Amino acid sequence: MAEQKQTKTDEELALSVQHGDKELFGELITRYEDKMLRYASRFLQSPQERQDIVQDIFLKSYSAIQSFDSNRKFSSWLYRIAHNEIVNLLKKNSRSPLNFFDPETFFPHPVSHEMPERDLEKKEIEHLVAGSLKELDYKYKEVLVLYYIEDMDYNDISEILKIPVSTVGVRLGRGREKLKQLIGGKQ
Amino acid sequence: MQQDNDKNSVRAQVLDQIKDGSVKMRSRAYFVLRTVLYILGAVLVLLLAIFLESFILFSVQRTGAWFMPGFGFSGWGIFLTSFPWVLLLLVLLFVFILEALVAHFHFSYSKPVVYTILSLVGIVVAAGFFLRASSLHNFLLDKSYEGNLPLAGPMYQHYAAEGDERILIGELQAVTENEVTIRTVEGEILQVRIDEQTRMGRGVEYLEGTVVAIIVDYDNEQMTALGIRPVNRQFDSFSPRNLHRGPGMMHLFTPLNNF
Repeated sequence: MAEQKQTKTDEELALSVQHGDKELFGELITRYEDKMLRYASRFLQSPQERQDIVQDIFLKSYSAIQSFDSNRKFSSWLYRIAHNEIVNLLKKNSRSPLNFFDPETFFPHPVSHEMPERDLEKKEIEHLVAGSLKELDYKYKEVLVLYYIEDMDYNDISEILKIPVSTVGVRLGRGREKLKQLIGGKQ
Repeated sequence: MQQDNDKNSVRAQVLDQIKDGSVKMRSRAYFVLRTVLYILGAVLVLLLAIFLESFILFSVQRTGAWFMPGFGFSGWGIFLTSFPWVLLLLVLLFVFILEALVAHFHFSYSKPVVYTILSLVGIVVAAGFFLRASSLHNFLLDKSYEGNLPLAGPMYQHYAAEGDERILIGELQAVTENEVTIRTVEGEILQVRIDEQTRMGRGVEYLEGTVVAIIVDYDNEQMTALGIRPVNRQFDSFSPRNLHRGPGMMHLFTPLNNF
């Protein structure tokens, strides 16, 4: 039984949960709790807040599991819920409202085929993003985190944030530029 | 170490809450219904936007404002002051609401917002022109005259029944050196003075039966034409007469369309 659980894909597990095998939701938690805690830790400082938000993410995902389309990636669907929960919490905690209107999503941009790690080494960027740079805008930080830490591709990030693929490229590029500026300013 | 404690606590607490039933799994029907409501909402807003857009066309054509830019600078002034801007703002508001509703769907958020908005504007304008070519607004205007149009009646009376008093649209009944006589949409016979200041367009022949737009100036109850232009062709291009309609629908068209 345990072996059967482990051989199933995330999508198959989610489908089984949808069909009433609630126990298998535990396996999904096991697979994603580390990732969710790591993801939350990039945006939230307090361990208690991180624990609460990850708990909320899994409770929300259980409640909404019937809306999951098993032809799509479970990870993108779960990260979408995580993104919404974290944004809501940040909005609640923020004195000034977070501005999520973004002209980058409004106008078309060519999809960049440039390797993002050309200017800064990937490892270096991962290290910098992992360092929870508080100064970086949320919209850039989350794209950098998803790309460099969570190892998502452009399409996954587009699905999670519900923004065009070209905008993912633009934010990634600008995020790296801002990181460079921040590093330059500190040195 | 801290992360391990967090993990155990999170997993255990989530599973406990699922087991004791304090968290319920929502049914598939709930999500299907929610999607259906989104789609219905979007369709309703789209239909409202198309209806209003076609009504704007109907209003500016029926009141004659549509023909004013052809008179040059002064005509543009009348067009801009008599255009139903409030309705246009409402149409734009509906388009933005529509964009917010369709933003939940993959086909929308996977493309830049400006593409979605331009597509929606294109659909609204094209469908609005098509709807304008039908007899719907003439029919509803008649209903509003009869007092049988409870919600939209005041809108029809305000924006379509009467236009700018400086604009006259009518069929030429007689033309003399000093005066033209026209029959208006309402069947009223009016005499309008013409003088050397009246701009009538070079080489234009004004025959009886020609439908004309006139910009008039009022001086002691006497109307003087500042400009006259034939508008037959423009009317034809928006007339429903080229569309199929049942024989019983003929009465739905205002006299203007049947000149």
